[in-house]
Amino acid sequence: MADLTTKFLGITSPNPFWLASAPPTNTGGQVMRAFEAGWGGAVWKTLGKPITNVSSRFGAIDYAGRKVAGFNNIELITDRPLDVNLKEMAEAKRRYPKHTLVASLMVETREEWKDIIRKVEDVGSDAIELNFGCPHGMCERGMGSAVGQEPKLLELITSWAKEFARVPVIVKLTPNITDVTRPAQAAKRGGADAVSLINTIKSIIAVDINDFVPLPKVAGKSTNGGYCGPAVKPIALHMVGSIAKDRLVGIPISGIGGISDWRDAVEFMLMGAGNVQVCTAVMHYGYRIIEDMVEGLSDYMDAKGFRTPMEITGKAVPNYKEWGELDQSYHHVAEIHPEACIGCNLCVVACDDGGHQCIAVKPEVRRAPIVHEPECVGCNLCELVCPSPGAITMRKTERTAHHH
Amino acid sequence: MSTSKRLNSDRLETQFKDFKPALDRAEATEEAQRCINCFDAPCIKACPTGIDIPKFIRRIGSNHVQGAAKTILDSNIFGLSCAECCPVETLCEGACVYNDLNHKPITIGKLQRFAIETAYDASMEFYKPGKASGKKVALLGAGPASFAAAHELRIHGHEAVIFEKSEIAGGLNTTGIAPYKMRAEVSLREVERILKMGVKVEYGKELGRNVDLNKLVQEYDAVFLGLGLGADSKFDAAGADHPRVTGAVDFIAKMKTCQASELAWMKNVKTALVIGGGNTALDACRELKGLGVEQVVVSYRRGEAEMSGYKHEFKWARQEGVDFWFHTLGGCRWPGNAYRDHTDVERRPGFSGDRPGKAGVVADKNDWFEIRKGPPAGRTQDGPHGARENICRWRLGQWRNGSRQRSG
Repeated sequence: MADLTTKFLGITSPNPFWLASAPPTNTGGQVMRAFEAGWGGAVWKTLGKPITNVSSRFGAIDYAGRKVAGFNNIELITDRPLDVNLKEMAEAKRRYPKHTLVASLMVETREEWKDIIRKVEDVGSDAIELNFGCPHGMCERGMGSAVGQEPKLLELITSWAKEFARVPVIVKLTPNITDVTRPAQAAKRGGADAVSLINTIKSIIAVDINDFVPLPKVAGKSTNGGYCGPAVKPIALHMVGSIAKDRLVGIPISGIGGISDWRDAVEFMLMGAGNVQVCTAVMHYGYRIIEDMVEGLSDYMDAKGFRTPMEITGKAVPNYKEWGELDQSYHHVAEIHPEACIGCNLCVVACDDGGHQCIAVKPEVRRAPIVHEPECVGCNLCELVCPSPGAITMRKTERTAHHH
Repeated sequence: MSTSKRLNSDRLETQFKDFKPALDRAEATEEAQRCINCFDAPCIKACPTGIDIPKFIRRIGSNHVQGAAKTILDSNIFGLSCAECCPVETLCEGACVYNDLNHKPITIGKLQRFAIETAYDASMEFYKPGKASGKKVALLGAGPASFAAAHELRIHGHEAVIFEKSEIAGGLNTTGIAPYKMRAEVSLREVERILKMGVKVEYGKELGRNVDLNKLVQEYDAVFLGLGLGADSKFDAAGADHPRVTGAVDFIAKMKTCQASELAWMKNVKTALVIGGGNTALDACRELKGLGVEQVVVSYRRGEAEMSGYKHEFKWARQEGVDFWFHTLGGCRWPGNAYRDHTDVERRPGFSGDRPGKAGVVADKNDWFEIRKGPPAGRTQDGPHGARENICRWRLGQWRNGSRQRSG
């Protein structure tokens, strides 16, 4: 068993897995159960001025029989009184001192920031996270993603937080922006110790085609929410990676976005995350998923020879290049292995209609279509659609004149 | 008149549960989404009616059941019957590429049933009679062939009149499908929809008895012969006319359409012998098990490998406790004579006369029954009376009290 102890911003956690600020960290009872289950840390449900939440609040996309491939929420920050939250935070930290407790905050004025930062530090928060990401409801009041989308405002508020805080300050970024490195740079300029991303993506999850109301419905109306879950992982990986390789940022990253298991977490860390935060998978399956994440990461580290999770961080960043830096002389072609082919011909139709028309059914046999190599551009669409493991692989070859 | 005779509500087949239960919507959606939508799919080629299977499955997956049902019915107006009684294991599902991945094949039959049942339950209509063409066609026999043809004729606006010797519509679909696969009302449900297209049926009209083919040819623009396979073949062996020996077609038809009282004698049957190794024999032995017969034996003259019955049906019959005696010349010996020239005759407990009244095979305590293990030396084709070929065709051995009337 590898040692998963993770240092992030000087804070030591039993492992790199934190719960993101969200419904699973709404109460002390929940957070303590999560710590008991094995979560390394928890970012408490965002604190701020009391609000009222609506019902319903969630929507989900099911894909090909799998539930919750994508998840959407219109829930705001905590709707519980601040003093109740503070009391429970203190208790959680007292009872689980080795686990990391982070306070997520969202207020407006300088005085309010000063006041709330003092209060959460007093109850033992190990760090604070500034919620500049929420893309629904709060942004209409000039907070959340409304700040995350204005680098100057983000920099200013970050500098206030840094002025008042003794513990590290993490700035949570919104993906609802053209170039996520700009707000990340602003966070750095404001003095942030780290950024965390992504918050949710502005979304409308679905529309009821019978009564014409988008989902989720609140008394026959709806509003845009924030999209998360497995579906957003590729977007988040790109944003984490682009910040990790931006020399103007250069501060640690807490990776968030569709992480459901240890492998997802490793991918985020390889792309530059110092630790990761999880929400949707826990909302779907509960805190217990931490067991597999811990064991899976440990086995991966042992197999790969990593001594600490920190060694994983950023390993893939040097391999994330601009398109123009790619080797345009490299070429490979599809190779179909008849012994593994089940004869579904999905590669044939995919190549015909969506590829480069180089795979054909062999008329005399049912199985194993043939690849016309000179026509193959090596796009690997066939490999992706093939349902039979190992039936199609890509073989390196010399680029012929045809391809130029 | 076009309404088929109504089915008796207490008929024996209602005792049977679906061997393959229907899918609910969630199960169907999940199963449909599991289909990988092969291009040029092998399941289509394996379907005798050429249904575009990936096309209808994709429509179930997108919750477009109406389109799924239409896709099926366009190829096969008896899509519901076929969904329930097709040997999918050797046809579409047997051809599913998932078999080659060692995955469970898509349950195509169940998905087809789901699509059609859902559409019919919602009273969806798919076809209308065409503009009257002024032409009319006579169809002989009210089985699936004539109904399918009549449906097509009505779409083209031709008049269609079916002549049926019995009082019930649907032919073997109604009277001949093993009840754990499909009940008669499913067949009549499909028939009713075709009747609504304006197909007429004249019941009690039999070719050669009160229907004259020459006259039909003169009166109609065309005549369609949908005569079917006919009655059980005759069992040319000693004892074959015993009251508790019956043919499969007749037995199944009674179970599916008649009042239970017509088969009341079945209540006392504890053992039964089924002669033959084809699919009807496999249906019959499972039906007997389903009716509560304790010991059911299938006697087949050749080996397991030579059985023409489907392997999957054979497996299920075994699982249900049916006993198979291979290389046996199934036959009944009534006091005195038959098969006396067979050398290695074995008396089987339970089928012998020492359990009078208990063994289904035995009519009274003087009767006994023999199963011979293996053919006698030097004999390869014919048994006594040249019976072996006949035995093979005679697929259900069943003994009944009361009437000595042979099936026919």
